[in-house]
Parts: sequence; structure tokens; C-alpha cells
Amino acid sequence: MVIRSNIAKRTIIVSDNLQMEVRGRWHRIREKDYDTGETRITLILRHKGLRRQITMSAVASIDEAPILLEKHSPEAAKEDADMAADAAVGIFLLILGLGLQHRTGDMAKQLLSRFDYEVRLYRPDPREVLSSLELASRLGKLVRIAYAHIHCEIALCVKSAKAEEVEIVVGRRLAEFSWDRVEKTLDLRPIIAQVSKKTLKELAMSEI
Amino acid sequence: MFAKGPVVRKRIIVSNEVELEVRARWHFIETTPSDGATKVILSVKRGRGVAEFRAIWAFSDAPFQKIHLGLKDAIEEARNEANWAVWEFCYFLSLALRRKTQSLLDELLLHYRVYSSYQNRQSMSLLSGLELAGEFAKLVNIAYVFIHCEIVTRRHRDFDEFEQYVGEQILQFADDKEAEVFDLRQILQAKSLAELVVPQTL
Repeated sequence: MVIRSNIAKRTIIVSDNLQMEVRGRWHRIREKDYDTGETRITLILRHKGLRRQITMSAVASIDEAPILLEKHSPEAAKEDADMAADAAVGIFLLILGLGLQHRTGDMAKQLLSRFDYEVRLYRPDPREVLSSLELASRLGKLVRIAYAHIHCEIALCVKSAKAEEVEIVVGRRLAEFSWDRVEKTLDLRPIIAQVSKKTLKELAMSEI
Repeated sequence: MFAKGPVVRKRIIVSNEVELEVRARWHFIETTPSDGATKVILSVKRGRGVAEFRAIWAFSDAPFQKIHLGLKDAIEEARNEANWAVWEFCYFLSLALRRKTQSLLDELLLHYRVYSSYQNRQSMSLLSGLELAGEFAKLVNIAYVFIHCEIVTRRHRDFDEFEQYVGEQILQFADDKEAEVFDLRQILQAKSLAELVVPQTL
């Protein structure tokens, strides 16, 4: 029986002082009649090494696939649970990347579609709609905290005129990183340093 | 200077065991510039146990701005803010009971400026608004679940119609500034919905 998956882990080095770790893990939830499962995301912020650490978690998705697969193939079920954990981390990074790119509409859609928000809207069950909004808001809180830290770090390192452009480049890099299954660490320091050296004209040209 | 406004409260007696109390109060927030927030607290009383859930309904510095007109005006403004929060809670609860899910979501997201942040491409503001909307939705959800379960248990055949009726009655209760208690037990005692809806004189 699959109780929980392995921990999927990705690290973002924002600056010399700040490091973020995003962890995902699928858990089985035992109910009276039938079992269900959920993937939880944990965000760990490390400020100045390991001395100050903040840990927060939220549900990223409700997924019963590993339980359904278990009857046919226990190995496949374990693999599916690991994949769910990995996908949750990827989605979190994608939402964060979209937020930094100021693609607010896409970010909101990605966040709300996690909990079948749009599907549930057409069903007249207020409980389902309110619960999915609650879950989306908790995941949104984690994204907001990560976003605020990256935003502040960029604002401190870069001249204010270029801060938004740097944020967009970082957001794009984060979105690419979210799809990358091999890379486990993203170092934002060289990206921020490189982009902040470019002039606004060079940045605009690189866009084209 | 005053730090808190008066408390406005309304009670919903769901059954002999369960009672819901919603109360709101405006609080001064010491920031630069000074601000204020109206907090809503939902208390669920079951037997001797009490559980409390909190959310922020709105940020407003209006009571603080009115302080130059006199303390009385400022307190009255704070009371209005709290009244508004309690009314809105009852209104959203009524929408949920009447199964107006689209309005429930749209009005909640409009109030917390999720849609306007969506249009203005302000990711940070959207995430903050969504967080506040989710916290308030949690309170509405808890109150809804208690009322829904009581109606379903007592009226398992016509619970849908009763839920609609209770939703309408809660809206009237919210509109009535004098009313402080809403007793669901009286409604659920009726033999049928017709007994409640059709005037007795007919």
C-alpha cells in the first residue's frame, strides 16, 4: 500500500542570503469508506544559511490516481505518487514564474484550475466551490510569499528602472525551470547580475 | 484616538446543540499611513465547546478619518463598517443556501479586487485578494455546512426547497437591523413548506 511518495525537491538560490526550497509529497488520506490522496507543497525559506527558517505548506492537488492504480500494479502506483509530487512542485514554480512575468491572468487560471474551480462553478454545490476557493487561496499564499521575497531581492539588487524587466527575465527562467526534470537547483544570482548589467535598450532588443 | 469600534453581532440557532454567532468589529491598524480593518469572527458553539474562525472583511480608514468631526461620529462610522461586514456575511450565506454559486464567487472575488487585479496585471495584489477571499469563504463554508447538515437531517425529502427558503429568510434577517437572533428550529418544525409560505388566513 502506498502511504506517501518520495519527497520531490527543488531549490532556488535567490541571493547570498536567501534560499528557497519547494518540496512536494503525495499523501494517502484514510477515510472511513474509501481512501483518497492529496499532494502537499511545502515552502522553506532559509535566510542567512540555516539560521532562520520559515516553513509553510498547502494542498497543491487532490489526486486519487495512485490509489486506483494500486489494485493493478503497486510499482506503478508508487511511481505515479512520485510523479504527482514532482508535478506539484513544477506547477508551483510555473505559477510563481507567471506571476513574476506579470502574466496575472494565466497565473490565476493555473492556480484556480488546480482545484477544478471552473468545473465546480457549473455544479450548483456551494460547498465544493467554497472549498476549492479556500484551497486555491492557501496555495496562493505560498506563491505570494515566494513572490514577495524574490521581488524584494530584485528591488534591492537592481536599479528601480530595470527592476520590472529583471523580474520578467527571472520569471521566464523560473517557468523554464519548472518543466526541467533534471535540474534540481536554480541559481538566480548570475541571471540577476547579467540582466542588471544590460541597458534597457539591450533588454528590449533581446525581447525581439 | 480610538483603537476599536463597537461589536456588531447576530446569532443563528441551528439546533438545540449547535449555535452560530457572527460578530464584526472595526480595528485601528498602526501603519504609515494609518489604516483600519473590519474583522469578522464566526463562533460555533456546540454543547460546551466553542470554536472561532476569523477573517478580514475590508480595509477602511473611514472611522479614523472622521475623528476630526468628533469621537461620536467616528464610533458611528466604525459601527457602520461592522454592520456592513455582518450583513455581507449573512448575504453570502444566503447566496450559498440559495445555490447561487456563480454570484457567490463573483461577488466575493469582486469585493476582494481579484478581478480588477486580473485586469491590471497586478500579480501580488491578486494573490493577496485571493488569500483574503479564501479566508472569508472558509467562514461562509463552515456556517453553510452546519445549516445544510441540519436541514438534510431534519427534512431529508424536501431539503432542497427548505434550504432555498432558509436562504431567503436569512437575507431578510440580515436586512432587519433590530433582529439579533435567527431560529432555524422554528422553520424546521413546520409540516411542509406550504405551511410556511402560504399565509394562514387563506
